[in-house]
Amino acid sequence: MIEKTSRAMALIIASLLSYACGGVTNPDISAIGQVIGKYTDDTSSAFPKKPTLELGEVELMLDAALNPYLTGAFVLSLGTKSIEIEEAYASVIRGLPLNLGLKAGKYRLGFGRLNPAHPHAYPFISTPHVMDPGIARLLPGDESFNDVAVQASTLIPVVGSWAISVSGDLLQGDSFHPDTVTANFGGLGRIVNSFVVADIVPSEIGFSLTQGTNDPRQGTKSLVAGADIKTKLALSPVVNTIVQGELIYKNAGHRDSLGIYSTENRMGFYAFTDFRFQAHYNAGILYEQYQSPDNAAQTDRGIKPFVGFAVLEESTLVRLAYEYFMPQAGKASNTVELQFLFSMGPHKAHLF
Amino acid sequence: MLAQLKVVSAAILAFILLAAGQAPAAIRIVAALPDLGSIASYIGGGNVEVSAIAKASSNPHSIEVFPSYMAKVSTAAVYLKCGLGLDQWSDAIIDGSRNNRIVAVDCSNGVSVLEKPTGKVDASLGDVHPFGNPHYWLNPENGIIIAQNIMAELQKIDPANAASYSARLEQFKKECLDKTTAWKEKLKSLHGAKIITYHSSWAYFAEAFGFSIVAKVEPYPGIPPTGNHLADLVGVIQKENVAFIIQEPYFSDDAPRFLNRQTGVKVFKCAPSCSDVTPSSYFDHFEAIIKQLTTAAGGKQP
Repeated sequence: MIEKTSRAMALIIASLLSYACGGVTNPDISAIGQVIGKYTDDTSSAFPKKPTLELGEVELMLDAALNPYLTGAFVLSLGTKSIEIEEAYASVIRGLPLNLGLKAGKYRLGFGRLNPAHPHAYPFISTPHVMDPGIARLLPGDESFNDVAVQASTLIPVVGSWAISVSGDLLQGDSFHPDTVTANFGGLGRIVNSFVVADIVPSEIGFSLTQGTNDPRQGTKSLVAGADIKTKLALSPVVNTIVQGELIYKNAGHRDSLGIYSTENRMGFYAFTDFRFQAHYNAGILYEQYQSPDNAAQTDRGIKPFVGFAVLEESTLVRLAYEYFMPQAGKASNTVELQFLFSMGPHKAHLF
Repeated sequence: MLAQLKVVSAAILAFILLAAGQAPAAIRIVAALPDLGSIASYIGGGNVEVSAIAKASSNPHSIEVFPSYMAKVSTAAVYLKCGLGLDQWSDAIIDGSRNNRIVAVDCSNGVSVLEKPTGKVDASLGDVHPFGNPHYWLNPENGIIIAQNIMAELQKIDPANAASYSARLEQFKKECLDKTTAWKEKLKSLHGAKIITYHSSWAYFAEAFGFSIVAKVEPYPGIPPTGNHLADLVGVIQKENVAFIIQEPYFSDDAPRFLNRQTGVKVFKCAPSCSDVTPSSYFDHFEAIIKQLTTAAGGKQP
């Protein structure tokens, strides 16, 4: 597996370099590394009540314009024991009618606000449980909702600062079920309203809907709907606060070995505020709750205060987060995480 | 039936004549900074409709890209980039707008760039701009270069009004040079004054009006000051008889306040950008800064 992915990575880098030698330019290359210290008393974790220090996921990103109309990007996730192509896609950014954009490849899908972003961009260090497909099992996927897909999107200016972006993705559908048997396409649609209130409060309200086959043999499907909001209030030129939240609802059909059909209806949400001050500091708090994946009658809750200090934008930063997690069925746990994140490469625009 | 047809034909004809008599649609220009937008409003006059992305209170190095900016650019004919690596966010806005027809004008073309780093340029120098200091609009003579770049593009897009754009450029040049002479006269008593700036935003302003920047509050561009650096600055202020500190409003007050408490040095908070895109805003901004410096500094001799 490692050998295959290493070969694939070497091939990607070689092809990009040969492209560069063709007289155009090298791609932008950025690398992000992190060291995470952690202590938890959660008895279900790998090292309860033992401090750990580990090299988190290292991310290598290569991106470049392919021609005047297309850009391409590769995001490789380098773990201590594996290499994974997390994203590999090309985007048509201009040249199509109706303000249309196209994207094709493997990428973190634009369901809600957190999923399309890489976890190193989260101010609270790790993905909230409710958004982690491996924990809350509301979103499809393993660690994130990520699939091979083709996306068409458009931006519709409405009036003043109000714009609506609409996107639709045709998914290979593997993220909905663990085993690939046959192609079982899925779909994702998203609509986002962006506007600026009183010329100083940018806000976005989005709605996402995805559907796919969760069991190809039985033909049962999952439907996940989400609503999200983000707003940023500038209190002064040096102080602002971000408020963001997402609500997710899942409806899934299942058929057991006896052929008895049942449905799963669960929901969850998170909300956080992140207060940024003096250009380099931030502090905030996140709250989440969701119906337990093992018993929808039970609700798991978590609260997580966090602080951060960025020496130079996102290139060198330190974050500290404490989580108090309260599963209804088990014992509450305390987790402290300290992250040192370092990145190198060209500065990218900050997208809202 | 024939009468009805005549009425409809007359109505269509009247509509066509009315439409033909209306003024042509204004050229929509979006500027990365209000300063570039203000100059575009001056040169374009009534033929242009200008808006800007950054505000005077924004740090132009790190503008967050909102979809509403992309929507604004999606219907524009011209985008005025600051260039020199300051507004890399402009590319994300232009690409996100999916506007196939937009022309991006780099307003830094032709500017004599200051503080262009030599040798290996990397983050060990802080958030340094590899192409040189990008705050060039703060020298009014560079305002004329910006105006020339804008005029050249407007003449290409709208050749029918080329003569009026040329005339406005000449008017802008004259007004800019006359005002600069008057501003230099007002700042005569401060000529040669040693100053400290928070960030490197004021290099072109200092060059234009004869100030000498002896230190910066940031030890490196984009890096917050350390205790040791502030202690060094206290020494510099006392040794060099620093006249004042200029601080951008989007940086923390703490360090300038500390230096003021320790040494009594005056601190002026000035935005590097003008407030809006009206034709007079670019000049009004200089007027306001110079008034602030001359009034509060009280003509202190260096």
